[in-house]
Amino acid sequence: MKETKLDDFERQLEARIAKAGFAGNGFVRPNEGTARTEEKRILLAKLDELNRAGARPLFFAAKY
Amino acid sequence: MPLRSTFKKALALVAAAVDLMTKRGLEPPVLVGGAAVELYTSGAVFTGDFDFVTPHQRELEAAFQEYGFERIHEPGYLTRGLIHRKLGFGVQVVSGALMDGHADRSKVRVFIVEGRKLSVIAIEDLIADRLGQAYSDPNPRKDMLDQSVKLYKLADAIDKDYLEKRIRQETSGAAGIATLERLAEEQR
Repeated sequence: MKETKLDDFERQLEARIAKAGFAGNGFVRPNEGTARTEEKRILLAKLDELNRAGARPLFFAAKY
Repeated sequence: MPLRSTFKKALALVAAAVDLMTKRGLEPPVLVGGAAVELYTSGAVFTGDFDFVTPHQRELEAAFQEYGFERIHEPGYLTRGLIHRKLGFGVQVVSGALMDGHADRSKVRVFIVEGRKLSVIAIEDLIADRLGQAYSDPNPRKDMLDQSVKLYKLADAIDKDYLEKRIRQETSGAAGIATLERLAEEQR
């Protein structure tokens, strides 16, 4: 199995992103997850609820 | 566009839990799904729940619990997922076999995260998975098509023979590498 240090991978990937012409938040989009299972939807809803209660930004864009 | 710091913290935490499995002589669980997409695209697509494949669900969940994850004890609640309240993300064992046994386990990629090994689904299998999900709908899902193209464009090395075979398998022959290349061209 191929082993890669995360930091090295991240550096190389950033170079490939720049070369591919991706830049800025326009490239970033959430995983829409429309194929999620009911269990997954419950998990994400609970996380959203906990994060809202803690008044902190959600770790991710929850779509459930 | 580096990986989000919260995502890297989460990766380090799940790698620590996975490490416990390895130390106990169990086959390492494999990270799949949206978190693997986020990793391979350096956050081009972001998610927040970490899906794992392992035949040792109970043992992995116990390892996660040693690292602060907990079940939600509410009536009718989850049987598989755990959450980390402090960091605000969840983990879930989604299957016992990698891509229902269709994936070549030797192609799994190992990332060294803060000195610990984290096994991640091969990018070829991930692309095939996203395309398979896209083509499971009569109108292929744009989000999944988009993810597959980004993964393809940003891959550092791809086994094209394996990729073609896996896309054909996952899409029942509806797509192949030529599909990816056409989609990539359309996005230019």
